[in-house]
Amino acid sequence: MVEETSGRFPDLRLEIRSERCNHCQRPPCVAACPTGASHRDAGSNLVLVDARRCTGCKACMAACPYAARYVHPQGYVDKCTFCHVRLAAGLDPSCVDVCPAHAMAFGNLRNPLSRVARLLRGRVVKTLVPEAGTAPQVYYLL
Amino acid sequence: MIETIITTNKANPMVDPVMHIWGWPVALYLFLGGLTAGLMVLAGWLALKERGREKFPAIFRIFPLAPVFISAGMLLLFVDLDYKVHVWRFFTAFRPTSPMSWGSWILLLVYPASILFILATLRGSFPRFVAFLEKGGLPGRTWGALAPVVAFAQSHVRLWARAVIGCGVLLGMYTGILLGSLAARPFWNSPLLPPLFLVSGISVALALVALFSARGEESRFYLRLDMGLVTAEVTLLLIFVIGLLSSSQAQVQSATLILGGPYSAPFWVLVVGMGLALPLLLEFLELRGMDVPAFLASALVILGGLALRFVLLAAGQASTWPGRY
Repeated sequence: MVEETSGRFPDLRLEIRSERCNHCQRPPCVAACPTGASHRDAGSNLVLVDARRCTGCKACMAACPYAARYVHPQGYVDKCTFCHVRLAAGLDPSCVDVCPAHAMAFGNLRNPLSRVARLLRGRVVKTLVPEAGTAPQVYYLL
Repeated sequence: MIETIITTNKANPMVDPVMHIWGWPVALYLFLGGLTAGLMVLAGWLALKERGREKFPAIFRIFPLAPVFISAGMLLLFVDLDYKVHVWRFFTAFRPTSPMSWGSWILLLVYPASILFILATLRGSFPRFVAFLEKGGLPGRTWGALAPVVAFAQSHVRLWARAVIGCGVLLGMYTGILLGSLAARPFWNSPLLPPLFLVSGISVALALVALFSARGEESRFYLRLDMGLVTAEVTLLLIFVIGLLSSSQAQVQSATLILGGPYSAPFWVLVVGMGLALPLLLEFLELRGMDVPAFLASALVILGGLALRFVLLAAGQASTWPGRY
């Protein structure tokens, strides 16, 4: 969770963001990985880590502008998976499910009829550091 | 004014100070890798230039340390790995987009190239050692098996000289390309890092050779060559800083890390002052006829090369995109 206050009193602006891996379309972590452990999942386009191939070299951590990765106590690098196991079972990611304010939505942006695609249409949205060229896929509705 | 409060995200260096990425083993590897690359480029070049009539043989006497240095460096890389039992995974894959993958294969090329070069120059650099071997210094028929290999290496010395130059350039540059390719670190996003690392590596190698070469003409030759490279390094560092300052806001902001920010003192005092300016000054004074201890400039250049790796590695990891933390 990031709470960002900007501006000068009394013209202040508060933004509360729940941050996670942005599952970028052009993920620098995947490009940096020397073994192919970091990859974009072919079916879902999720950015995932195959722990069996990870050496813990941390190149992906150095490449990620969002500090979305960390070393798992077992040694491999781990990250948000959008709960891919739950997705496979047809469920939403846990963070979306447990949010009491229903502030988050998950879905397929390629499908114009999906809830997320409809939410993004006609709203002002932002992504984090798009100028890094990563094409991040977590959108914040403003 | 923007105030950022991170409430629950632990995976952040501002929350968890042990969340650093690469520490001293990697900085030390960068130094040893650069030194090895420098030795390879230098020895290969001098072997081609002198064509076996080496006036200044110190480099060929020190060169057998190259595989030792690179092995120590690779051991440090292994120390840095967090999932050590998977180290073999580097060598079951080749990922063209990952400079680290290129690097792991380049490191494997370094060994055959430098060992063949060592064998090719063995007779010229260590004549008494070879004579000892020929007189049966090794048990059994070891020398009988080894002699043809040495003879084969010797007959292709120019080929191995070219091979060590090629491998040395690759080894010296890939680390700079690696750091420069990381999208999250604006401080490293400079095309000048690869040549900077290569030139610094050659200059450290020259300083080491000067340290262990015969007093007088030979050490003067190596040290003078080194001062040319130190001058080139100063120029590259200067253009590196100018490049950051004339780039986009991310780079300009990252340059403040060494221009007033937390890495200013180590960068200007240790890297620029102690490692580059002072050796140049000492050399200049010596040319003017002052009696300056010869090892001083060499030792300073070596320590400066070490400081350069530590400072650039740490400052790069501290740099982020504007608005990130």
